Amino acid sequence: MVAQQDHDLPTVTEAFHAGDERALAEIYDRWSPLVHSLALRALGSVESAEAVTQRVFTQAWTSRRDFDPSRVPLPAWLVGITRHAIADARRARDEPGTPGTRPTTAARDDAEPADLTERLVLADEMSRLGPAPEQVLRLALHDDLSHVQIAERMRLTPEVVTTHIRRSLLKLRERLEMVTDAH
Amino acid sequence: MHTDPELLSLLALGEHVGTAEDHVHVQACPECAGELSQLEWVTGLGRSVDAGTTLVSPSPDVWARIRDELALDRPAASETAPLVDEIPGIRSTRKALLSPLSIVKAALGRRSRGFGHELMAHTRLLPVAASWSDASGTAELATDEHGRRLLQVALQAELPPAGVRQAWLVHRDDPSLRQTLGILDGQHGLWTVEHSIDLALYAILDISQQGTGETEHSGQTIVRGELALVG
Repeated sequence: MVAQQDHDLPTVTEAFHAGDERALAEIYDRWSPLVHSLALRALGSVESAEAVTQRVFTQAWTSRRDFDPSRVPLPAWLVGITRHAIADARRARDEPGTPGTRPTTAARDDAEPADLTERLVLADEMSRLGPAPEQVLRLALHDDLSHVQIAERMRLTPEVVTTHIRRSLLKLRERLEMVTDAH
Repeated sequence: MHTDPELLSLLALGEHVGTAEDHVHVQACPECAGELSQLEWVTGLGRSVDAGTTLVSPSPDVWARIRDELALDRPAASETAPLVDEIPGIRSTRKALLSPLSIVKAALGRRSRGFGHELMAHTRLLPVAASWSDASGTAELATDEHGRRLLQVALQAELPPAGVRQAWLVHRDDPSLRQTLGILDGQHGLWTVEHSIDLALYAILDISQQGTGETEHSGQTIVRGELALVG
């Protein structure tokens, strides 16, 4: 239903590249929240963010043949398109005589923090880990507990806690690598 | 011998673990040092993230506009098109029930993820309380090829960062009789409906805001609708 399974990202990417419309729908399901959230934070209005989101996915579809999956992962490519679309939207808004949309929250004119994308992706992925692994990781990251302390707190063995930590960090890294233009 | 990967994970969290030998190896070995540094990147980001940060989904209108702009999936003569097209937000249902116009490449090579086999019921979900007045949703009930009933929900609501959203089937005559279906994942839910549940009686679908671990209905209904059987 919703493309939650990123282990088939290569498959969906290939189908997208080849022009399968259902692949676009799956990619939209999976990545539009990230695109929309980045735009919303940068531009401050739902209307502008939705316009950017629409533009990103239509542009991605029409330029899909220019996209080389061997050079950059599809999500990273989408994030790149998003950044350009946000910059264009800012320029259009700031031009005199252009009817601007009234921001609902304070829009920041300074550049977004460089790792905003990564932070949003990480936050989102943490909420998908499952209740036990998520709690383990939160206790480790935010409460600074050791794995032994976490084990005591959650009534698990230290081995189970360590396994949760390792698997979760690997999953998070894998997702982060998808949105990072690390090539 | 490389450093145990679990040890590296704990080191990335800043824990004081491992022997002196382990520490020497991690510093000297490029592979392990690289792995550790990548894991530290992840934990560093993790620490900088607000616990409540969630992603905001765009409204279903955005996808509709994209489809229009790209002229996607225009079913000319499909019999199932009219009913399904009127229900916004259930993109995957459209994918499954409309005959695919695009060529299915061998690359897809996996079983169809389409929702359902035959549409049985649908409903618009509407708010009942002022505090959720902007919320809405849709629900569809279909059977799969094994005859199992599947209920799919798409919510459009601003979700609070805490708690969960839960779906219930409520008896049409006695609101105190409720059958729990399950928890939504963000704005989406998909559950099997056990065959003994009589949907003619348990016809009201209720989506509530619950505290984590709260087993009784909180009393805070986000949206509600009556499953209308089709056909």
